[in-house]
Amino acid sequence: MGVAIMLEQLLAEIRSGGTLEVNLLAKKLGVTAPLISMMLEHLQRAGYIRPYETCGDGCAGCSLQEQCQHAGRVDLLKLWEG
Amino acid sequence: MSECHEIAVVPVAQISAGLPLIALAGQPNMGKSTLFNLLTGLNQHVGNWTGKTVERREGIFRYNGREFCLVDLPGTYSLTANSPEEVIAREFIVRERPQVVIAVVSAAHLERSLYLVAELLSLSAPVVIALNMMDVAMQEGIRVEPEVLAAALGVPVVPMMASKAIGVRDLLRVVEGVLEGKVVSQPRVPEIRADHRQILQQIETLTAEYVPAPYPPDWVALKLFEGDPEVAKMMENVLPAQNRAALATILREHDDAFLVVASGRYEWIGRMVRAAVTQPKIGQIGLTERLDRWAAHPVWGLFILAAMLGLVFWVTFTLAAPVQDWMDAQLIVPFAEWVGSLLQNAPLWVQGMVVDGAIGGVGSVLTFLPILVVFFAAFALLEDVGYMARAAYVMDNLMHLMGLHGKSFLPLFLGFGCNVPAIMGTRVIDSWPARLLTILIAPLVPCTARMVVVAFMAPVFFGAHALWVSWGLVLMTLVTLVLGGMLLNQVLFKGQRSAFIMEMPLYHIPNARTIGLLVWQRSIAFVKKAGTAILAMSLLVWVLSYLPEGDLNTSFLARFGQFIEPVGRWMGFDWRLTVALITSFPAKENAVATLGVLFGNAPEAGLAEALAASFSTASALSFLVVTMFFIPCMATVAVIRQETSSWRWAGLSVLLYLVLSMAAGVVTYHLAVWFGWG
Repeated sequence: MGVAIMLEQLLAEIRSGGTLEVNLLAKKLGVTAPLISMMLEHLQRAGYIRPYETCGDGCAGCSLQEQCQHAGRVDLLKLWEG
Repeated sequence: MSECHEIAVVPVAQISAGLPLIALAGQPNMGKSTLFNLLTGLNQHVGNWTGKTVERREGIFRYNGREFCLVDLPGTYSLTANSPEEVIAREFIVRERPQVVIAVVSAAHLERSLYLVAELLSLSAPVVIALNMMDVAMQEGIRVEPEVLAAALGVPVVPMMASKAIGVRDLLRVVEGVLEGKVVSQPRVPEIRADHRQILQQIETLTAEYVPAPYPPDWVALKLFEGDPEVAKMMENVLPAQNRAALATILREHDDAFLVVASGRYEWIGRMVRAAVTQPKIGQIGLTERLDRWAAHPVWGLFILAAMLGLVFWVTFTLAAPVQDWMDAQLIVPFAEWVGSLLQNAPLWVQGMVVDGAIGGVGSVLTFLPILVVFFAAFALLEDVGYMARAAYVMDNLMHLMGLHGKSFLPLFLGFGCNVPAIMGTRVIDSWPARLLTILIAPLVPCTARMVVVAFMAPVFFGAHALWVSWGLVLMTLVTLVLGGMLLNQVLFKGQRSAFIMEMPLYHIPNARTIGLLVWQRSIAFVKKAGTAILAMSLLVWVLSYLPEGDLNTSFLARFGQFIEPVGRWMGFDWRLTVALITSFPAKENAVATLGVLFGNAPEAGLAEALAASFSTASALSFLVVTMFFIPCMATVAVIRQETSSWRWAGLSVLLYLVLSMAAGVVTYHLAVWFGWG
């Protein structure tokens, strides 16, 4: 990894689309997984990417909502858009 | 505070100019407040920063007979003007010029803490690092070497555990050393890319002589370069027009400067962490990596996923099906007989409504419960172990390879729980046509309710082969979904990219309580549904099957069923299967409840036996295929109406799945007959 291109590389990975896994991204960029998470948060604060937000009230009336809400846990799934 | 007895408490009233000023900086939850309270005790003053609602805390402590004024800066992640807290923290350091800034960082989350440190080092105040939470880091198997970190940062680093008051004396000794000039720092600040260094220099040349005191000109140039709005506003008021224009041109030409400056800091953090932190690859991490070589592999991962799905069905059928049979034959049927005997003097319609309607319908659905409990427990186990995240990862990889990209994937993924949030989730798609098409294909995802119907019906009709039938049904809908997705991508998502980022947890030993809680919540939700929507539908079906003469064969339901039976015949259904399918519109589980009502007159056997004896393999297989593709449930149609703001699209969705399911049913039935299963 050259000096000071880390965020650009991360953005390039995001823009290429598809499934990205934090630990594999960390390996690719030669840093730790917490640093990748931190960079993603930073890019989000700066408005480069935004998180996917699950619907809060979309399950009203559905008896399986407990399961859906669990499956849509924000700490598990995130969609980031370039 | 055994170690801190010599840190005497001084009344707040004595806070005055002349005392050495020390600032405490750090991110939230790094132990900054603990350290502040430890040093100042009750001798602290709490107020607000001038003109802000952000809390300001300051106090006095004594060390080695000397008094110090300590200011607790607001917790911040950086010193960029992202929030009032960040502006307050940096303005205090720049304007009040504390003699020492103690940066409280967590040894357990060093990366998270170091971004702020990178910014602090760019300011002129001497920095001392309080490397807190050493005990937490040790518990997590993280080894941080303070001496190496100090050498890498070029500033003193003091390991400590503020929560246990360990290391506080060492910290104060170092702070005193800095104040007395005995400890000299040579901070190593982050660099920026070589091709941008010149640009930064140009900015500094343009602005340096106009920077208001006491702001450091190099810091102001850096902040301008990375697009800090507060600093830009300040300089706009003081720069001559010519310099302002030149600066604007430079900044316009380098709109990637934020990334360049921030990347420099992250690269610097990476170097610091590589130098000073050791995370041994043993235990959970090593095991996770080894398992993920298979479970998260693009090819093997899919085989493992298919095997896991099969295993879940196998466990469900093996463990739960016998219990379900027993419940049906030994509980529901005798209970219905017992209630019938209690009501023997009641009018016939009351007997029928309670025994055949309520007990026949809801009772049949409640026999699902063993299946549900085992089914949910198996999935909860996989989820708690950490496997479900891998399942999502390999599935998305497959869809990505087939041309279906992230934007439509996540809504579809949510559909495995329930199609309602899947439809809602399409809000992430900006293009209306793309969103609409995703809404239309989302009901192809086999939701839990449909899976449960399959889990119940497959063993009834197919006995020992139920596992393969269920497995095949799920694969069939997934293949259809992928084909639909490919079409969607080819038509509408050309050139659009978005990423789906996941963090897969470490594999770990499952927690029985967590699994139990999940199973409990999901089962209770199901029982509630059985007691409300399914009960109401069961009673309605019974009333329609009773009126007008109390005979099922001449009832309104039979007349309606016989009216539409010719259509059902194409798929191998009699009128009862056709009606059961139609009643699954309010909720998928109603199909079983309706069959329970319609076959409730077979007292000698449970529902499963009665069904198995009434329909051929071809009809049963066709029924399951149609169920998988049948029109979305009422809640899903309502949410399609809500999200498209149009009954037309909701109606089209109903029509689409009606045609698709009937076509699939007709093909399946005739193929099965052709194979001799009729």
